[in-house]
Amino acid sequence: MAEFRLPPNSVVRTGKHYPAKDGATRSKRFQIYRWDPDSGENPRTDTFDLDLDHCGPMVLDALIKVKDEVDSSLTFRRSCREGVCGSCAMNIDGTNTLACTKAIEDVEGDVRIYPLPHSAVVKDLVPDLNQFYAQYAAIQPWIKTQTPPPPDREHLQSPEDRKKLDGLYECILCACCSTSCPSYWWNPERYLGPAALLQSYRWIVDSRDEDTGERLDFLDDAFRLYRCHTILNCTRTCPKSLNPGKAISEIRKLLLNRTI
Amino acid sequence: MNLRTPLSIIRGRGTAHNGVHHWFSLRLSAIALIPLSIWLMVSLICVSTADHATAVAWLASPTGALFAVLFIIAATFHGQMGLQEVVVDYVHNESCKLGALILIKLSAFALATLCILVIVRMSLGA
Repeated sequence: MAEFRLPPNSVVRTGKHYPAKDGATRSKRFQIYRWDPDSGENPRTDTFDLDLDHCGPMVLDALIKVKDEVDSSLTFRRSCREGVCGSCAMNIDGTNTLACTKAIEDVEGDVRIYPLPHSAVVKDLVPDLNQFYAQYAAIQPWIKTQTPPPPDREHLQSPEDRKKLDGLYECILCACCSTSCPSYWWNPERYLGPAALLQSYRWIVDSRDEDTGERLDFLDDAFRLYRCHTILNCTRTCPKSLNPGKAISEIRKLLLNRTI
Repeated sequence: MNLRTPLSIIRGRGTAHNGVHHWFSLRLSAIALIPLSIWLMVSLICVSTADHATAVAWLASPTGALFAVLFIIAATFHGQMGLQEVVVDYVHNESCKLGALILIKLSAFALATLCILVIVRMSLGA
């Protein structure tokens, strides 16, 4: 059955409190999910009070400040700090987003930071994304052609056909959308999830690709594509403002059109 | 211990090639139900204040019987397709899932047959 309750060893307890340094005038409270696989203990939320006068504007800045100055054991992924790499995807203030592009002042009250929902946690804010990457690999995200490219240049694409990739190629595979989708939570082994489906559509509409039929064949499955019930959590949460829900609908249209 | 690779799990048993058919049938029956539901609601409101004989005459009339049968077919078809979606979403035990699907489909078929039989008997004046 679908899991509506946390298993006993996943129930989150209240952890330590680290008050702000003396003299802090603009203090903000951060509640951060912590779990260490080696400790054998339940997860907990630690509370960190930070002085915003001595902290960068984004949630990632706060996390880095905590790691540098308060608790160096805090574990999270980050790289580009400008919304390009997708490493710092996490659940902030109840919504999946990138810590590096989420401004602290946009959060009212305490800033609650959890790992991406319904994913196995490796440590603290680091989720296990192996299955997510396998879904991406399964849609074979590379150009497939029978016609070899001309010897002196690459396959050509008209500006109009190139335009069809806008809103698709920008996906950075941060996993915010897939991990916000209840259909993905209940059937992660069989439903591909919004991210992989948007990526698949990116290759389906690519005018240079000659494998469209096989790509559609791969998706014509009650689980792989049709677990989507268009609740659009994916579109609402996407930190790059993309629309995976629309991509999924377009795939369905193509699948229908080739039968009638 | 599960030593299968993530890709082997995701590729699984391959594509079932049944998704588009189920999805389109569900949409088609939903479209049919829009006018049929409006007809049913309007009719029920009209009949609700009338006596028993008028209600029977309404359901036994050729138009009444036709639309009632169409509504029953569309509604039970749509209902069992929708319930199948719910079961497939939430029930992960293979035996329970198969059992639930058999129960849903046979119940819908029995319910539709029963309703149609009643309407046919009424319209034939039995």
